[in-house]
Amino acid sequence: MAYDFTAKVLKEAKPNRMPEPKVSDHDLIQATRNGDEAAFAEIIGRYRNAITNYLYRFLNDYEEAVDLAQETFVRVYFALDRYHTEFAFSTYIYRIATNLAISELRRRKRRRVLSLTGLFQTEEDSDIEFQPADVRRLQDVELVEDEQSRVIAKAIASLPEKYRVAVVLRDVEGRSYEEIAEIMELGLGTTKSRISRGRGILKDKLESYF
Amino acid sequence: MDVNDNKIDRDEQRIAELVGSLKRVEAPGDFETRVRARIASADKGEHGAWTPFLIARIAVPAVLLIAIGGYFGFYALRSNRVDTSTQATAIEEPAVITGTNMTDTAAPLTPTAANPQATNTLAQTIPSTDKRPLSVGSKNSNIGGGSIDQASKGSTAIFPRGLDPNAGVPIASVLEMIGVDAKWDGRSWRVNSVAAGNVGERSGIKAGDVIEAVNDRRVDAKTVFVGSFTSRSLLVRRDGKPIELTFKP
Repeated sequence: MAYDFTAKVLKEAKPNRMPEPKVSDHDLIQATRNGDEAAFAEIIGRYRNAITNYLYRFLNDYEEAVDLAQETFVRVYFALDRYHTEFAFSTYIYRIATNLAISELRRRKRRRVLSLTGLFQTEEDSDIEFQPADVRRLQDVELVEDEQSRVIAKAIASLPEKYRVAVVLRDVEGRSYEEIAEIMELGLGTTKSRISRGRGILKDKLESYF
Repeated sequence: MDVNDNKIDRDEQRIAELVGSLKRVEAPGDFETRVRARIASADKGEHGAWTPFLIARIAVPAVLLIAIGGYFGFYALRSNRVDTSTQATAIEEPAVITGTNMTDTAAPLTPTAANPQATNTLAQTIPSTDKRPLSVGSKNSNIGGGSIDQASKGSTAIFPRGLDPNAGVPIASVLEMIGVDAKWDGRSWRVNSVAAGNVGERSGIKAGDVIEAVNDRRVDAKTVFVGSFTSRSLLVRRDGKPIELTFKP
């Protein structure tokens, strides 16, 4: 029997400070499996801002972030039967979002390789992600970021992807080391090392703010 | 050491603060609607539209690989067959191309009974190693005149060196091989000299002879022997009289 959420009042979770939900993610997933569309709507409501923000800080492109966030939920929906409840759902959805984001970065890199700029790129440069400035106007969200924010965002976007994932999950999304290790499918020590290394690279880029 | 560690911790803490200070963005208001729309379109099969492309991405390279593999496999097998058949045809009768119009000048002579047991062959004048069938990949580079490239050309039969049917052996070269120095005088091959101890001398050819036919076939200035053949006899005119000689290796 489908779990009925229609009568429930569910507060939208604030990103990074998600209150303890009355109904667990696992229960919502199970209800969705049983055909309760409202349960899936609740899943979307809980994670849409967090995933969008995560992908935005990862890609430094809001429209691309929204697009991939939507794709993340589509993937979740069609993979519900394969989801195992021994993992936290948040870990699961962040992992999907991360994989999509990394694929997008690599697609960009391939496109860049075909460009003339790529022909003159050095070995050292190739490890650094180049993010062209996003000059498109944002349609859905008005972002007014000060100079410092733009510099920090640009510095994050220039991190190699393996450090960027770790730093954004830790310092932007506030995920625990253990959860980041699970999302990245790495050991705890390696995860901490990547976070530290990523911060070290950022420190060099943000020297003026120290 | 502790001071450095503390400094690193402070630096990392500062970075974490800076990164954490970034303003958060939210999903657009129609986010859920758009997700639903994507799910609905996927249910209608639009989301699965990648399937034909995936099949094509796998099938096309696979078909190409099979085609290329089949091509080389087919010609490799065919080359092997040609190599084998070369051994079987190595002693076939020669094809003789004479002049520009073979029918005009290569009319066969009437065979004589003078040399019914003749077994001498022109091929025997060639070093024995050259008569062995080509063995592709053999370590003995003196064997055969072919190569891997030739072997891979399925349509090219591999013959011993000097007996390539496509190359042909002109009459002048044949005479030279048997030690006969002859020149075309405009009407016939006239022997100037015969090298001592050679096939020509042993066969009885003498200076002044006019060579009229080889293996009962008339020869002229442009006669070419195509392929390997068994040579039996040589017709010469000496002092105006025809004399049939037998090749003696």
